[in-house]
Amino acid sequence: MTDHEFDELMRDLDPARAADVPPPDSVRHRSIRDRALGEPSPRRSRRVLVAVAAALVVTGAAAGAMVLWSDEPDVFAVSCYAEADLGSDRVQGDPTLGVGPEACAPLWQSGGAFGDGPPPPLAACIVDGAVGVFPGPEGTCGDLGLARSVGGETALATMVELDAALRGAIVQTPCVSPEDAVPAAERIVADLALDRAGWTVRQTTETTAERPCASYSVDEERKLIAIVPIP
Amino acid sequence: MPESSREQRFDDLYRTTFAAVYAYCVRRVGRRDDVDDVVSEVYAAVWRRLDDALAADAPLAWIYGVAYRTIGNRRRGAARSLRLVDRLRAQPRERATAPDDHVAAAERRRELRAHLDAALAELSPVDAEIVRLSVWEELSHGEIADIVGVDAPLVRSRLYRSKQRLERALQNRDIGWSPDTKGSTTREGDTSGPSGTDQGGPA
Repeated sequence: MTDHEFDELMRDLDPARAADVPPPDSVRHRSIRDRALGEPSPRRSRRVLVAVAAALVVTGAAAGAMVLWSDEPDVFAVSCYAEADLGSDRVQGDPTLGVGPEACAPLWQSGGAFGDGPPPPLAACIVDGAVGVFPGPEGTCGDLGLARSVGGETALATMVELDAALRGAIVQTPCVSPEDAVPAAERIVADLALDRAGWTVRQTTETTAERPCASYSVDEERKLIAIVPIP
Repeated sequence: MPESSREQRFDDLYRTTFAAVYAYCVRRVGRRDDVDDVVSEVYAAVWRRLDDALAADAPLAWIYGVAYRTIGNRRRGAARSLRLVDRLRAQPRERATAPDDHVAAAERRRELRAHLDAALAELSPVDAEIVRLSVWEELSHGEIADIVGVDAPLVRSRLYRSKQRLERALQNRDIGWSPDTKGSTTREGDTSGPSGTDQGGPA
């Protein structure tokens, strides 16, 4: 690898992309400036559009979105984003439908605030300890620098910590064997006091010569961390 | 200076440097909400020392220096959330199980980036910053020297050695990258990094 090639690789992997930077006319651009000057941010920047999605779906109302404003976004279980961009418009999902993409799907359907057809692929990520759902494929959370939501009722912050710890202990090179991954995961579960909440770790399939390394999946419903042999 | 005029000068500086400073912070902090906080903190310092910023030969490089110190202070303070983000960013990710082309390319890109983050983490913080400032911010050795507090000739030699180490580290990780395979990564937008040319040092 020449010096030029190295520079080329590093530039190609530059985490700063044009889409990351709030545009000059955006609320975030203004909000950061106001915070720097010690001025109160415009309340709009802390507001979240609350669409009454269910009502729109039921009534089949056309594009005229029925919206309310709220100043307390943190209480919402699921924030639905209009674009795969943290600066895009947010709408509260319908918590009765779930705490994942399903809570936002109606917004993309007929009469919804975001679309008027079949929902696009939706990715559930963790944003400030709550779930944020973005349009995009599976890798969208990673592209945004966010952890994937592993869903469910367990405190999301704990799930973020769990996911990060499991990644650090198991999903790394060189490979960790499933036999070593199980006790490592059990230690993590104990460290996070999840064992007291009934969480267990189990290798779900046998290790083979073709699949010597471990990966994991988190089944929040069954409170199970499954250790899975992979290539 | 009347406050309104001072604010206008700040706004002019903010408008012309914001994108580059924001990109600088994204590269080093990662999480968007944390980036917003850091950028706000950086410009709060700029506001307090506006005369110094405007008197600098290159205000953007001066602000980079503020951002460098701001992020360093925050890392030393080691907010739990930032440590978590660092861990997330430093770990190679799982491969997608059933990738289509887009997912596979994005996954490959994340994997490469994780390897690069891990390799950078093996350098000293100053050496890693010298590499980032050279490649991503495209600053001169003199500008880098002013920001990290190292003599310019040393910047040149440390940059050379650091790149050699990074290249070896990446080759040892067998990331399979070459100029021919570069196109397999998905470039989802331009870097929009600042040119940073002919800029002097920060205060």
